[in-house]
Amino acid sequence: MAKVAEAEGLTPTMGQSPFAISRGQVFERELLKNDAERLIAALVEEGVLPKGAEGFRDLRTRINSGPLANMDVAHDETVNALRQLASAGQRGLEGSSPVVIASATLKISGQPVMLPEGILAIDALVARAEDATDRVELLVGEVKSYAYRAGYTDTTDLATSRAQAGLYRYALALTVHELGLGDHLSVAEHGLLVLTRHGSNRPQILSTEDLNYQAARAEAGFERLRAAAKDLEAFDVEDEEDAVERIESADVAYRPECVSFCDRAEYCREEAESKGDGNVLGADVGRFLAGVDLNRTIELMGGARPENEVERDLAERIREARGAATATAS
Amino acid sequence: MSPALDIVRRLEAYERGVPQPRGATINTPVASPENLAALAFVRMGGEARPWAVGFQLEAAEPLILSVPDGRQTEPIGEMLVELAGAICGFLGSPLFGGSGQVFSIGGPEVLRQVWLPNGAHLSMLHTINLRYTFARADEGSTRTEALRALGRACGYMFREAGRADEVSVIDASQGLREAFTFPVDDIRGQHLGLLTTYLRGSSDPSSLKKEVKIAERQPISPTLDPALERDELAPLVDDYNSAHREGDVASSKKLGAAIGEVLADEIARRLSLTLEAARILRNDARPVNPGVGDLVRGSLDTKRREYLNLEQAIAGGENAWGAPSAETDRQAKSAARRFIRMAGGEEARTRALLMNDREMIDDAIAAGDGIRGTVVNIERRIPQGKKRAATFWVVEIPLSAPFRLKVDAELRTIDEVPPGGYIEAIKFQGQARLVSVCMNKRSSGTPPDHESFRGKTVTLLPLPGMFVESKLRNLGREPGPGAWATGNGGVRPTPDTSYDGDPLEEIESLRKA
Amino acid sequence: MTRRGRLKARIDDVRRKLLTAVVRGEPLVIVKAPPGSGKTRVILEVAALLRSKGKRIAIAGQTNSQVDDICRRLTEQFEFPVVRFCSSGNRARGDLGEQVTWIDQTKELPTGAAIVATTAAKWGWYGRPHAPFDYLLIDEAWQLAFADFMLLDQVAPRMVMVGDPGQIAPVVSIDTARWATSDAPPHVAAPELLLNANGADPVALELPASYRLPHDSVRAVNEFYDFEFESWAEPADRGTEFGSPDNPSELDPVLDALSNRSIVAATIPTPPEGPPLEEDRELAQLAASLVHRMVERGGRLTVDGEEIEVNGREIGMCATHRRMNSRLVESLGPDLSSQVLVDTAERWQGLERPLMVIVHPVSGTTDPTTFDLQTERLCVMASRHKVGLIVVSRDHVRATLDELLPVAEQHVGLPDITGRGLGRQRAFWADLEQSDAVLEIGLPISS
Repeated sequence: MAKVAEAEGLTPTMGQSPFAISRGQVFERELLKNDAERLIAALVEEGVLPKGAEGFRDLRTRINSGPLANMDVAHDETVNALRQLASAGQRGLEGSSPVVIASATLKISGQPVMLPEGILAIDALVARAEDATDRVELLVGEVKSYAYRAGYTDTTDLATSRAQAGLYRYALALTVHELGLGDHLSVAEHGLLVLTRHGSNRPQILSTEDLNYQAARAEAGFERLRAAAKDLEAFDVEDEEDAVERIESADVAYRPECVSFCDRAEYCREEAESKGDGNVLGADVGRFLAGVDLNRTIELMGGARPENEVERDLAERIREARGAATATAS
Repeated sequence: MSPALDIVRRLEAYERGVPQPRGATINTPVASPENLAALAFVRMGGEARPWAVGFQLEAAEPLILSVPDGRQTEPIGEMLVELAGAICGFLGSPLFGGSGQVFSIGGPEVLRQVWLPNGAHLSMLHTINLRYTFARADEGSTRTEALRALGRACGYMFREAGRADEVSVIDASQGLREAFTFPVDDIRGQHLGLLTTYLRGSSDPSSLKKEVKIAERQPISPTLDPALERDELAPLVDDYNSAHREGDVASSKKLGAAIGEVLADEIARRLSLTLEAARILRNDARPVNPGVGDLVRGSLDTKRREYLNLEQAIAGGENAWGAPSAETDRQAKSAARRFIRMAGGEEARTRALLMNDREMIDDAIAAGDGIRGTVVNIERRIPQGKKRAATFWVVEIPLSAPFRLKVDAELRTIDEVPPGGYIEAIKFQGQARLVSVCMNKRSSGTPPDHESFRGKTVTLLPLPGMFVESKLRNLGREPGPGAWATGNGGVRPTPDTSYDGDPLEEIESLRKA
Repeated sequence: MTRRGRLKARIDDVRRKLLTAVVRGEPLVIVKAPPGSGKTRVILEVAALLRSKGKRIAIAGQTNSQVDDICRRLTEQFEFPVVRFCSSGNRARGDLGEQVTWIDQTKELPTGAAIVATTAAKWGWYGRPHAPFDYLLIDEAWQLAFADFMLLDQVAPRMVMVGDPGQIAPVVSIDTARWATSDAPPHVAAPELLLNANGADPVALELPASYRLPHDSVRAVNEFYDFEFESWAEPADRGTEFGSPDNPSELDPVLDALSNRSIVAATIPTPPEGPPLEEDRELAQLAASLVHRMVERGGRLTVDGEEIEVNGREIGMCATHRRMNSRLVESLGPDLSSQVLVDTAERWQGLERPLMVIVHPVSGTTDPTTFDLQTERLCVMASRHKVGLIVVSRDHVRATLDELLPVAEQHVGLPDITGRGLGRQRAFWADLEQSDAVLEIGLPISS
C-alpha cells in the first residue's frame, strides 16, 4: 500500500516508528533471554505455571534473534515439540519437556491467499498440566509491547491482540488434531497476553483473556477469505508497477478508521467523496443515508423531489430531525 | 445532541464547506489568560512516558522541556520534576508555592483551567499518574516528592476530565466540536489542527480544503510522525547514545540540543493550536450559557476535595499514600462514591445548561424527553389522590413525535418564571397524543389557567433530579446491618434458627381461603 | 411421573429451599428467575412466612407501580397488614384496599413485626435512628447496580434478591474503565457481583419454570440464559385459532403457522441498495398489517383452559428503536393504536401479552452496533408472549449475523460479551430456521 500511496502522490509513513519496532524486539528479547527466565518467573507469579517450572525451547529464526535458519525449520521443530509434549505427558513437564516455546510455528494448509505460505508463529506457547485430566494443556500467548494500564489498557489494542490470539488458537487446535495428538494435548479456551508493565520492560501477564469467540471468528474469517478468493480473478502480478496499477484501479471501501492504519486513507477518502459515499462524514452518516449519494442528499435537503422509496424515507428522516429543531415556543 | 440532528448538521456543514455554529450559547467557560494554561506531550514510538512536554500559561512564554532519548528513566524523571513545579504551582498546591485555596483570600473564586490538545494527551496524564504517584525510588528525596506530586496532579486532572460536568480540564478538540459542527467524521474531528484550520477559514472553499489537508498531515497526538522519527530523530538519537557512551560530552550536548529543537517544534505547534482553540471560544460572538456558573462552582468544589485538601495535608506532614489509586478503586465505598459522581455528571451538566440552550432543548424534544405541542384545552379539576382543584393543560402532540415521558414525570416550561407540573395522563386521539399536565400554582406572572395559553405552543421538559448529593450523603453513613454484603465491614450473620418444618405446608395454611 | 409432575417437584424443591433458608436466617439468598416464572409469588411467600414468625420485612421494588402490585397481591393472598411507604406525590391511582396502610413519613413506620414496601430508591434513605428490619427482599434485583445496593445497607442484615438475569441492565452512560479491575465494580448488577464475590457465599437458587411462555418458546428463550428452565405450559395449554378469512391474504400463512408453533418469523426481501435504517416503513407496515389481520380474522386464544377473543388489547408490539415504534403506531392507525401496546424493550420489562409482534433488533442494518446486538433486548422482546410471537424482519438478518466477525473490545480480564451475544443471536435465528418457522412474504403487502 505504501508504494501505491507513493504513486498517488502521498507521502507514506511506511509503518511504525523505528523506536516502536525496536522496542518490541527489546521487550521480547529481555523476556526470553536466559531460558525465558523473566517470562517464566512472571508466569509463575501469576499462577499460570507451577512453582519451579522450567524448560524453554527457542524456535525463533535468526532474523528474529533466534537460533533457527528459517520458518520451515521452525515448523518442523514445532511439530517435534508437540509430539514430545504429547508422548512425555504431564510427567514430562517436570522433566525435559519445555513449558515455554518461543515462536511455535504452524502452517495452515491450503491458505496461500493473504498469508504468505500460510504460516503463523505463536509468540509464546505455554504448556502445563491440565486440571482433572492427564493431558498437557497448551496456552497461546501473545507478547505485545503496549502498556498494561488496568482498565485503561487500550481496548482497540486488546481487541487486535485477542483476534490474533484467537487465530493462533484456531490454528493450534487444527494442528493438534491433524497430528492426531488430541488425546494427549488440549488447547486452552483462554489465552495469555504479555504486556509491558506501565511501559517498562517488566512483563504484565493477563491470563484470563476470553478467546472462545475469537477462535470461531478466525475460522469464520478463513471461510470468508476462501470464498472471496474463489470469486477473485487470479491474477499474475508481473511486477510491482503492475500490482500498483491493479490496486489503484480497484474500488475503494472507505471507512473513517482507515486513517489510523493505512497510508492510502487520504486518497481513498477523496475517491469515496467523489462517489458520494456518506462514510466520509462518519459511519453514522453512511448508515443514515442508506445508500443515497451525498450530493443527492444535499439536493433532497434543499427541497428536491424524492424519486424512490429510499429517498422518500431519507427526506422524511431529515425533515423530522430538523422539525423538532425549528418549531419555536410561544 | 440527538444523533439524527447531529448527522443533519454535519450534512449542512458539508454542503456549505465550513463549520457551522452548534448551539445558541457557548457551554464551555474560558478562563482569563492569567488563569489558563495549555499542556501538551510528545512521546517516543513504543514508549509510554513523555519524551518532551510543554506547559504554557496563555499570558506567558511556554515552558518546553525534553530529553535526548525518550527511553531513559533518569533524564525523564528530571524533566518531570521541573514540570511538577510548573503544573502543581499553577494548580495551587501549597507544596509548590500555591496558596492551597481555590480563591485568593477576600477575592472571588477563580477558575484555573488546563487545556490539552485532544483526548490522547489525557491518556498521557493517566500514564504519569500510574507511574509516579507512588514512586518509591529515593524515598524521601525532593525529587521523589516532586514526582509524586506530579503524579497526583495528573491523576486529579485525568479523573476530572472524565466527569461530564467539569470545566477545569479541557480537551480543546472536544471543546471546539461542541461549539461547532464540522464536515468531518469523529475520528478526523480529533485533529485539533484540522479543526482550527477550518475555523480560521478562507476566502476560497477549495483552498480551505487544501489547507485542512496540509494541517491534518501534521500529528496532534503525543505520537510523532513515524517518518520524522525515522528520518530525523532516530539518527540523532543513535549518534547521541554513541557519543554519550564514548564520553564525548561536547558532541552529546550538541546532539541533545538538536533533538531538543526538533521536539520543541512539535510541542510548540501543539501548544499554540490549543491556545488558539481557547481564544476562538473566548472570542465567539455567542453568549456564554448562564448555567456555566454552576459548573464552575462544582469544579472548584471538586478541586478542593479531590486535589487541594490532600496537597494541604501532605504539606502539613501527612504521607503521600493517601492519593487515590491510578488503576482502580479497590474499596467498595470509594468506587461507589466515584461512580455516583461520575454517573450524575451528565445530568448535572444538563441541569445547569438545559434551560438556556435552545439546541439542548430541541435535542431533548427530538429524543422524546420533552413535549412541544399545543395547549388544546385548559381544565380545572381535582387531581387523583389530591384534595384541591388544580389547573390542567391538555397538550396535543403528533403521534409520530418520539415520546418517552411517563405518567408522574415532573416538567418545567421554558419561560421566564416557569411554572411546572406533572403528567397526570396520556391519551390518544386520532393521529395525536394528548398529554394532561397538572400545573403547579404560580406565585407571580400569568397563572396557568389564563385563557391566553389556550392554543399556544408550549415546551415542557423534565429537569434532571439532583440525586447525587443525597446519594453521596447516604453512602457516607455509618455502616448499617447489611454492610457485610456491601463491602463495608461488618460480620456476616450466620443462620441462627433451626427449622424442621415444611414451609410449603405452612405457606398454604397462611393463605386466604 | 409426568413431566409436569416432575417439574412441580422441582419448583417445590426450590420454594422449599428458599423458604427454609429464610426461616433459618440465611443472610443472603439470590434467586435467578426466568421470564414469567412467578418471581413475585416467591417474594410474597417469603414475606408471608417470615411475617408469620413475627419478623420485620422490608420489600424493595424498582418502580412504584411494581411496589403497588406487590402490595395488592400480598393482601389478596394473605391476611397480614402491609404498610406502603411512599412520597405523597406517588400515591397509587387506585386504592389498594384496607389491608394496606399508606404512610409518607419515616416516623410513621411500624415497630415490631411488619411488612413494609417501597422502592429501592426510597429505602436508600432509611437508616438510623430507625429500627432495622430482619430481612430485605429485593425485587428485580438485576436492575440494581451495586453502588445503589450499597445505599441499602441500613435496612436489614439479611437479604433475598430475586430477579431476571436476562433482562436489560440499567444504562451506564459513563466510561467504566476505572472499575474494570476492581473487586467491587459499582456499575455491575448487585446479584452478579455477590454471586462471584469472596465472602458473600449466597444461597443461589434458580426457578426452573416459566409460567408465561408456551412450551416450544422456552428453548429459544433459554438460549439467553446460563441455566435451564422449562415451560409450565403443556402443548395443549396454549393455542391460537384464528377465524376463517373471508378473502385470502398473503399474511394468512403466518397467522396459521401460529397454530403449530408459538414463534414464527415473517421476512420481507431486503432492497438491493441495502437495508433502510431505524425506520423501515415497509416493515412497520408488515407488522401492523399482521396485527390488523389478526383482529380482522378474529378467533380464539387458549390460555390454560381459558378462551380469549382475539382483539387489539391482547396484542403487544415492540421494536428496539423509538422511531420504529412511532412508525408502528402510525401504521396501526388510530383505533388499534389505542388498544395495542407499542413500546421499546426497556418499557416492556415486567409486562406480557398473549400475542406479540416484534421487529428483530438486527433488521435494517448490515452493520449492527453493540446496541443492536445486545441480547438482553431480544431476550425481553422474545419472552413477553403467552401464546404466540411473530418476529418480523428483512431477510438479510441471517447473513448479517453469520458474516459478523465480533470484535472483542472488553476491558482486561472481562468475558467476551460481544462474542457470546453474537452466538446467542445466531442460535435464536437458527432455531427458527431449523423448525421451518421463517416465512417469506413478497412485496408489496396488499393489506
